[in-house]
Amino acid sequence: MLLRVLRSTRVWLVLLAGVVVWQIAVTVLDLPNYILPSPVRVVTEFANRPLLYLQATLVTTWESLVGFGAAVVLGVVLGVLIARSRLTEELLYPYLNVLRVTPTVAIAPLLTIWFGRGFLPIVVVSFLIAFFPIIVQTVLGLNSADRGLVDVLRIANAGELQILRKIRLPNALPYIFASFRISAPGAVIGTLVGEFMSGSQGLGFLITTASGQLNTSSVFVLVVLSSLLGIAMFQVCVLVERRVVRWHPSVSL
Amino acid sequence: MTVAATATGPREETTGTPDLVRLTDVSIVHGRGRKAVVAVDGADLEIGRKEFVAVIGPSGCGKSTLLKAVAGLLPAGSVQGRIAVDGLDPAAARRANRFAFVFQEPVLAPWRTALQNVRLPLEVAGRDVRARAGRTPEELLELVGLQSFADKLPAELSGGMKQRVSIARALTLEPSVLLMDEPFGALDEITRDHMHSELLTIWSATGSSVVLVTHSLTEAAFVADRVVVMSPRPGRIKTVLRMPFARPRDPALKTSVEFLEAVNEIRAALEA
Repeated sequence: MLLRVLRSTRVWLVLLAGVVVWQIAVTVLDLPNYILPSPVRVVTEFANRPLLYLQATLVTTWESLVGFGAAVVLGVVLGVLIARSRLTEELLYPYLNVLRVTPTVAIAPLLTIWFGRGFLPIVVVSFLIAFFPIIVQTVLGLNSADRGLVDVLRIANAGELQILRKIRLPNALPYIFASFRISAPGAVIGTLVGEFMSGSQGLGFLITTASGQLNTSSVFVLVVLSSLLGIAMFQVCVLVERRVVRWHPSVSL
Repeated sequence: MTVAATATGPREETTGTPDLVRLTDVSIVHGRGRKAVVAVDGADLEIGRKEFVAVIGPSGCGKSTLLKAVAGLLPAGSVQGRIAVDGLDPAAARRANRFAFVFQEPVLAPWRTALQNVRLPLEVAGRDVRARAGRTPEELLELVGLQSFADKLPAELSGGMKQRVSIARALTLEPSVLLMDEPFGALDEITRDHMHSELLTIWSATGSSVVLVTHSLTEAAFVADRVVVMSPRPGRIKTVLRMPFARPRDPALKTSVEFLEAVNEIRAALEA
């Protein structure tokens, strides 16, 4: 009984041990708060201003969701166009690649210049980071459909649109969901970068102000909240994936 | 014992003939220019209604290519000569849903259950074809003996079961011609033996002609009315042998002397 409890909780025990070591190290070495705050101080910081932090988390969540959602819609639509039309691929793909290798951090200030401060430039940065894995995986998934299966539908006299709907898109779903595992946390990172550059609220904005004030405990709270948001977005995608592509070996029967 | 029935010589135009599929001097060339390879050279063949024809030959004799040509699956321009199905060219025949194809691999959609896979052609077919289709997908699954596996995903089925699902799927639109490209090649011998009888039972319950490409002498001799023997490089039809066994054919036939003689005759034709 005890053994089983131990086995199911051992991952968390590692975390607990880490936190304890951290607390002891800070106390014994007498580290100043602005270098490394103790876990207790970090928790206290959160408990002192919970509304501030929750409100910032909500803002960042919303911006990440919008950026990610736009990336899903545009990524899949452009993926379909590129996979199914030679001309689109020839004319569009090289430029998408150029945009992809251009560091988003370098573009972000431009976005502030064009769109001003606030929601729009932040969502665009989030979108830019989440977008490319989705488009790449969509193209891969659509084109890796079983040729024999496509032939079966061709012989049944199916049109290209029907083949897309009945074969290529379902076949691409596991690939697309795999990209969500990268893109969903990526959207959170994009939002934080956007908030650094041009935010006036949200977790990223608070990190810039807190670090400017050397309020390291506050930075720690914000970092933990950002990570939790990334993990939450990732987990929601995995949950949806398990429901939608139950047939795929990666999910297993 | 057998009659070599190689179809050559002059004949009238297709209208009003009893033949369902008629190949007249069909040559198939892969590639272009200097890299062009002649896959099939001057093939003449007729297939009657509700006839079961097996095509046998060594690898590279173009038998699968010939099958694809009948189904209109080859790129335009690579097929010379005349192919007529019910008086239609392959593309028109395909538009009229006269064909179904069974591949060596079952090629089922892994996200669809057995029943949903059988239903797939029906979902993409035109309304007129859907109205024509006689058996429901449920009945077809029953025909291939898988009614209790209707809700299983392909990953949960054995190799033989998957191939039976793909045969049921091929029958969904009531094709005039069922084209089979080594459909049992990926199965173990015991399952294959079983599938031969199974296929004959299924075929006798439908109105389709069957063209079956195979590597197996026993398979060809057991299932077919006529066996088309091909030679490789370039693929040519060497001879056509009639299998004189009464139907329905019992698995015990495979051990009879006449059967072994027929198999030997096919072998001799292959090696000649």
